[in-house]
Amino acid sequence: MTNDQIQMLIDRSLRHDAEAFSILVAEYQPLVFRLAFRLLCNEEEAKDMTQETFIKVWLSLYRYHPKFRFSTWLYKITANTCYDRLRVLQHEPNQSKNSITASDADLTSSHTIEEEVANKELKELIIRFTDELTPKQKLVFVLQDIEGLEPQEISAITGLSAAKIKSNLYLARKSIKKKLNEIDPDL
Amino acid sequence: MKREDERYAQLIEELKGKLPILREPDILTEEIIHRISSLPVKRRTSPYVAIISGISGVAATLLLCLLVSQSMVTPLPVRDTRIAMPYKALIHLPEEMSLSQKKTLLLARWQTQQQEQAARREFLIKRANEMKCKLK
Repeated sequence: MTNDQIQMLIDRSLRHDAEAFSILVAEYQPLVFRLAFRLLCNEEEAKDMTQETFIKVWLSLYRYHPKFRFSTWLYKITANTCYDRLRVLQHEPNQSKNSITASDADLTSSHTIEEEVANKELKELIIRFTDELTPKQKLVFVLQDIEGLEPQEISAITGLSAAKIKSNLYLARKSIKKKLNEIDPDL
Repeated sequence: MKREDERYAQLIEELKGKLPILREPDILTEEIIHRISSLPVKRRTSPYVAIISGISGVAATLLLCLLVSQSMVTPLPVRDTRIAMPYKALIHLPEEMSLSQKKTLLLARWQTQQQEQAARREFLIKRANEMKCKLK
C-alpha cells in the first residue's frame, strides 16, 4: 500500500468512515500482532493488545502527522500499550503464568495443530531467552534485533535517548548470550 | 567470543524467521470495528480555538488576580474614612455661643464638608476610571 493510499484511508477514517478504517486495520493488523506477540509471548494477550492499539489509533487518529511514517506511529502506540501490560505482568507473575496456561488450553480446542505448535514453539523460544529481561530491555531488543528497526526510529517509538537504547540493548544481549552459554556450555 | 556471537546471530535469525501466526484475522478486524462503532464520536478541536481559549483563560486569571489585589491589598486613604466627622461636630454646638457665631461656624463647617465631599467624589471617579482602563 502506497503512502498516498494510506493517507487517503486516514482522511476517510477521520470522517468516521469505519470501512476505510477496517482496510487500515486489515493492512496493519499483522504488524501490530507480531510485535505484541513477541513482547508478551501470549497469543490471547497479543490479540487483546492489538484491539487496544487500534482503538487508541481510532481515537487519536487526528493527532497523526503525515511527516512520520504511519507504521512508526503505529509501532509507537503498540509498544506503549504492550510496555504498560508487560510492567503489570512483571508485578503479577502468577497472573501472567495463569493467563498463558489458559491461552494454551484454548488453542488446542479450536485451531489447527500446525499453527498451534508454531506459536507455542516461538513463545517458548522467546520466553527461554528473554524471561529475565526488564520490560525496557525486552522492548529495545525486540524492536532492534528482531523487528530490525533503526535506532532513530526506536528512539521515536520509545522516547528513549540513543545512549539509553544502547545500554538497554547491551544488557539484553549480554543476558541472552549468558542464557545461550547456560544451554550449550561447550561454546 | 566469536562463536558466542555466531550462536546469538543464529538465534536472532531463528526468531526473525518464526513469525507468530494470527488466526482468524477477519474476526479480530470485525471485533475492532464493532468496538469502535460503539465509541462516542470525538471531533478535532481547531488549533485557533485552542489558542483563543488558552489566551482567554490566562486573561481571566490575571483579571481575577488584579481585582483581588485591588480589593485586598490597596488600602483606602485615611482621609476618606473620616468624612463623617463634621456631622458629629454639628450636633454639639456650645450653648454660650451667639446666634451669629453659630451661623458663621456652621457655614464654615458646611463649606469644609462640601469641599471634602467634592474631593471624595473626585477620588472615587478617578478610581473608577482607573479600573475601567485596566479592564480594557
